[in-house]
Amino acid sequence: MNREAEVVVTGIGAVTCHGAGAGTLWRAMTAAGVRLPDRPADPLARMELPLINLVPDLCPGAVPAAGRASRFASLAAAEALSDAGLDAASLSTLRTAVVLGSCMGEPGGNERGRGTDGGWAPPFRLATALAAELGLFATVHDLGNACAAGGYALGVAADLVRAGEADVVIAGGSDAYSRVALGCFNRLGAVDPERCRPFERDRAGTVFAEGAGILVVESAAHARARGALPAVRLDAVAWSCDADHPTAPGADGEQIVRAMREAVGGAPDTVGCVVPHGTGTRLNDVLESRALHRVLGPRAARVPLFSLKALLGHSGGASAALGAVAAALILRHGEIPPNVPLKEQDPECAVLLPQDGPVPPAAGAGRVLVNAYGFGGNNASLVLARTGGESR
Amino acid sequence: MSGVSAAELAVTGVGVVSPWGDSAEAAVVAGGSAMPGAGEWFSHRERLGRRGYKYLPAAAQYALAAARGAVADGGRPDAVPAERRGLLLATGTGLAALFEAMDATVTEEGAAALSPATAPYFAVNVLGNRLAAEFGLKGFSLTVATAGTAAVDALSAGALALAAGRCDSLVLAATEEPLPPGRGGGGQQGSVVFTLEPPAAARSRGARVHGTVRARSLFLPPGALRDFEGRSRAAGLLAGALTDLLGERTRDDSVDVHLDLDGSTVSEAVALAVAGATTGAGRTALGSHPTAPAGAPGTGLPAGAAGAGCLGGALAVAHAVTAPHGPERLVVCASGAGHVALVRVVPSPSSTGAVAC
Repeated sequence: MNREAEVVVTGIGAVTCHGAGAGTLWRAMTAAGVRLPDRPADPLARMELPLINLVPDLCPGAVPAAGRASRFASLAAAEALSDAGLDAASLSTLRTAVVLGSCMGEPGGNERGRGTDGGWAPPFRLATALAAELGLFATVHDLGNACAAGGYALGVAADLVRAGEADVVIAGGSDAYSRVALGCFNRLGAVDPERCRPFERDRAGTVFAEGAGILVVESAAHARARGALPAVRLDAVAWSCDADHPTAPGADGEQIVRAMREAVGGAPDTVGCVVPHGTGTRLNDVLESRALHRVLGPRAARVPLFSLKALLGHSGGASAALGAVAAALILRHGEIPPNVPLKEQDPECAVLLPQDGPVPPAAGAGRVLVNAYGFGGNNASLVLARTGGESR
Repeated sequence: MSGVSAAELAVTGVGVVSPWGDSAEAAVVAGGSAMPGAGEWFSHRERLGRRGYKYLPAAAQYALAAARGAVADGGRPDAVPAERRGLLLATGTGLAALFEAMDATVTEEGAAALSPATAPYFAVNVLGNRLAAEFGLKGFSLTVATAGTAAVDALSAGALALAAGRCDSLVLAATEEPLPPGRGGGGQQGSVVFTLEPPAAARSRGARVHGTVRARSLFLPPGALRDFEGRSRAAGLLAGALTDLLGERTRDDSVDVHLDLDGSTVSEAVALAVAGATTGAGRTALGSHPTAPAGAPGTGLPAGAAGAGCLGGALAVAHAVTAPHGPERLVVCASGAGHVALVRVVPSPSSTGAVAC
């Protein structure tokens, strides 16, 4: 294991409520429009707020409910591999791995009236399905780390690369509509009736979203050897666990601070942008804002945040991977798009959310921090940077 | 490509909770008996305490009891600071029954009728939450949910995390509940927990070590096994992995092979490779037997449904690492979906008694 080996991102792919493609995502990011939630075409969704940001153009008739999350992952992976300059022939000569995280896996078929009633299939089979589709003889892991799952998947990917166990890792996360998940979030009083509004003063919860984010990860040496010219590197992925309450984040924020500090390393001044976890739940946004101040120090109030969930909703196990894709887009384009306009920012969340147009990263700081937190106190923080830029 | 090349891990504690008794051997030996109904064999009040455990899903209760068993067996998660302890949660079918019940509630009565105590468990990783809290596992909590091989896959992922410096010790909890009757029923129930750390660390603190394990996780795309080229590639991959794992051996080296396979073409390829690797030139023919009789956890169940449970492999490793001193053991798991996991188990020289390494 060479813990210092440089890990790069050579390809990205995305499927979101704005459509398929990282280019589509970037256009949505720069447009910063308000996305109101959809109502799933599910007559059995008996709940007060059956709200979710659905992926368009993949209507239930086109893709069986049992296979939406796999379809999202497949589309995003195809884009990421193309972006990385890898086709089936080249993949077949490499030591590959597929590591995908999800909160719900592929739940549709196990919910009444949405699949093969009476049967049951293992829900966590997204990486398995993708590897089978690509015909990969590979290392394949399906992870179930709730809303931090994509961050855990990218951590395993980095570990595989640094251990020299894989030349190329297809990693990320995917999640699709689940009646059970949305029903449980309704029961927990965690759904905002309006839309996903992180850091707003009157936010009332989150709004789930469908989507997938996939990254092609490899060592810089391997990328160079095959002629790839990656613009982005994956500096660090750190994990922690609150080991406390099943749903509420640790009140002292100690473990999310630790994960952030480990990811940032000894150079908090090099963080020029943050893609926060920021779901819109009252406690979470305040805790994360305070934790950012502890990690970044007095600069925290001047480091721009790009609040991705305000644009996409909360895509569960895909959210960290989509955060990493958004970070890669910010690094490639060299600017931070404006945030979806806030009616009024919560004064308890003392963070910078530019809304008047694109802004550059904080002066002299080119790295992007991505946070992801899940039920069970599962935390992940990632740092991405431009290749050739400042390091930890 | 030889899969995840995991570092060696020392097993310092093993805890088993099963309908057939709290040892891997009991679970294996009694495997042919009828499976008791879910919950009829396990009292959370007697096993965990009178208060505070009632609303935990059964799989979480099993994991807690097994973890306490692993600590009673000598595991010491607290030998390192809380922030250096990692949790590996492995499950394939763990919450299927709860999901089915919650879906019934939502569709028949509405989400407002859901229990707030169980609602957080729509996220399967929450199964490990109480365990992490009770043992202060703050390093991380990684949930591996790959159908069929999750427990042994977690071994290799955990070793990788250790090598990456994410933690200094690990608690691996494999836990399952049966499938709901309306979805076919059957499946596995119970939990197996291992406490793990680098062998050198265990030696330096004078810990008793049951044995050491090294794992490999591979994937063979089932569709590729239809043609000769694909089967040849799979055979080469498996042979390489087995050689990496077992090393060069002489005819005097014997290895006891434990198989946890289904009837799939993937399992056929694996069985062939294991037989070839262990009976070739310069190698001793190996004893090969199933982990448990038909009907026991991990055997005789349809792939993709009840066979998604991960206890077959976990029990096989637990049995191999706690069995009386003998030859090295190879645990082999495979599923029709394409997953293959190989674990080499090296018992400590005197694992039948307390051993100070």
